Amino acid sequence: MIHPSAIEIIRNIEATLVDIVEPAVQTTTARSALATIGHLLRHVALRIEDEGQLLTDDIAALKLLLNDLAVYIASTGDTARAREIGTAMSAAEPPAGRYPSIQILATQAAALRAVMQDILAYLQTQRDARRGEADYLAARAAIRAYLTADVLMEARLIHPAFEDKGPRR
Amino acid sequence: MDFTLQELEPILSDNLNGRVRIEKVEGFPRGSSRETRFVTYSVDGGETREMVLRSDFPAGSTDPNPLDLEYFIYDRLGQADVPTARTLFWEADPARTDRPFYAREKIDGDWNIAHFSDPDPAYDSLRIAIAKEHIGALARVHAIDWRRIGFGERLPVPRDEADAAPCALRHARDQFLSLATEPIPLLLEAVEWLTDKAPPAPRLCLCKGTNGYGEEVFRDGRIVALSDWEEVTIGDPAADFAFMQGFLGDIVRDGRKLWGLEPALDHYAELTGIRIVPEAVQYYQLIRALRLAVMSHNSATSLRRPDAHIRQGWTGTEVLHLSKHILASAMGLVPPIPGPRFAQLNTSVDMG
Repeated sequence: MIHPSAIEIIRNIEATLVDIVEPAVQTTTARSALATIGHLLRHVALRIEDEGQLLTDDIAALKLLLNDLAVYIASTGDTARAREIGTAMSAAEPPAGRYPSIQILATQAAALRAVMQDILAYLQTQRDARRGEADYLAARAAIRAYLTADVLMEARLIHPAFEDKGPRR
Repeated sequence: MDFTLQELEPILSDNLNGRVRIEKVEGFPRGSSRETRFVTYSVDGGETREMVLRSDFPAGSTDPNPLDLEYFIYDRLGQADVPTARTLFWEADPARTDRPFYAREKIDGDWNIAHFSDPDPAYDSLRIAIAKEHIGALARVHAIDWRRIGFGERLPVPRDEADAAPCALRHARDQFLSLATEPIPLLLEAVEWLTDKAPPAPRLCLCKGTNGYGEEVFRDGRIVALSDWEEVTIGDPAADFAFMQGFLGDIVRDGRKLWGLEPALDHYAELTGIRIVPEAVQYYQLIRALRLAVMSHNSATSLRRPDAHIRQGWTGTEVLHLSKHILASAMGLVPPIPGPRFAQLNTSVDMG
């Protein structure tokens, strides 16, 4: 089934809620729930359209970052920790031969991000000792660059769905 | 437990030691952290009364703090000189309810204040009077002897004034890391950044947490009950100015500033002798954003259950994202979002 697309159906649901259901709703609680449903439907539509590509980009960025961080950590002499990063990255790879659904991509991205979070927590414990080292500062800057891109990427799934679209509840 | 009249009557009868007859049970539409219901009832054919019931959503609370902590706070506030509702009972018997809840008195009044949001300058004096009323109530909260009343038994207690902000940050970090959901490394980065900038508190006070328009109960322009205590902390009184929706907006007429953050802090200093600097308020707005991120993150986990409240879906998406964006922009990673964008978060269908 190509048409109607998932996006077309969601937009139709939203319009039906506004034109037909909302005028018939009597209670504030129900009107409030309807308002929230409208926002979330627009958000879901954006995720259907963009989330697959965004997760693919996110996974690529995380792999690049984690490889760099593993190299840096190995250079400090902590080869065991560097090896653990590689092992965790391999474990996050999705099963071969499966269609990369959003759920599979999201699971992989979350697993890689968990590795990155653990590394960040470790690097924070090293800050007092290494704050004067250029490689340490570069590693921290690389993480911040990823965090920046992550927030901006997520914004693409949020702002168009909610901003200036009426009461939230 | 669906909190129907039939389910509630025997439970209320046991807890209130009389035959309870319930007239109606109404849901409060605005709450985002937990469910609130208003019950109209009588005991043994006596006068009609009202109570408030609080419970977690069926899929769990947005607030990572447990419901019994909220009950504890209300219960202990009964020993303090602040306008707040008296607790009636706590109910958690699994034979009677699969969702624990507690009851407190319903104080006659309304969170809504006629003409408060009317931009007509004729209502400036109303807005300022309401805001001052609220600051007066907060001053009484900050004067509470929290050690005597035992708040330290359940709330994180800073080691000293310098530890006020780090204590709040440690607590938020621990709560975030205990949630087995999506990793959000930005929050770890934010905790480190905020720890570096922590200001010392002028005093360690009981802080109410969530304040302002929509959070308190008014009658005839006076606060008759301070509500929404679930985010109470022990720490810097500046924290209570960091989330004070609607009561700190600038009022400027003919080039003269009649109200805003600085006049509000001056008024507070006159009442308490405690001088809070605007920078500390701005700092605690970021701690607030961190706590909001943790709460929203917790809310997102509720969506694993199909009976989650629709509002938890909103909290776990837009609110979580905006709280992360606030922290990221404070750290200079992304451009800030305009203030009016945040004001939209507080909009509801019943706002006049």
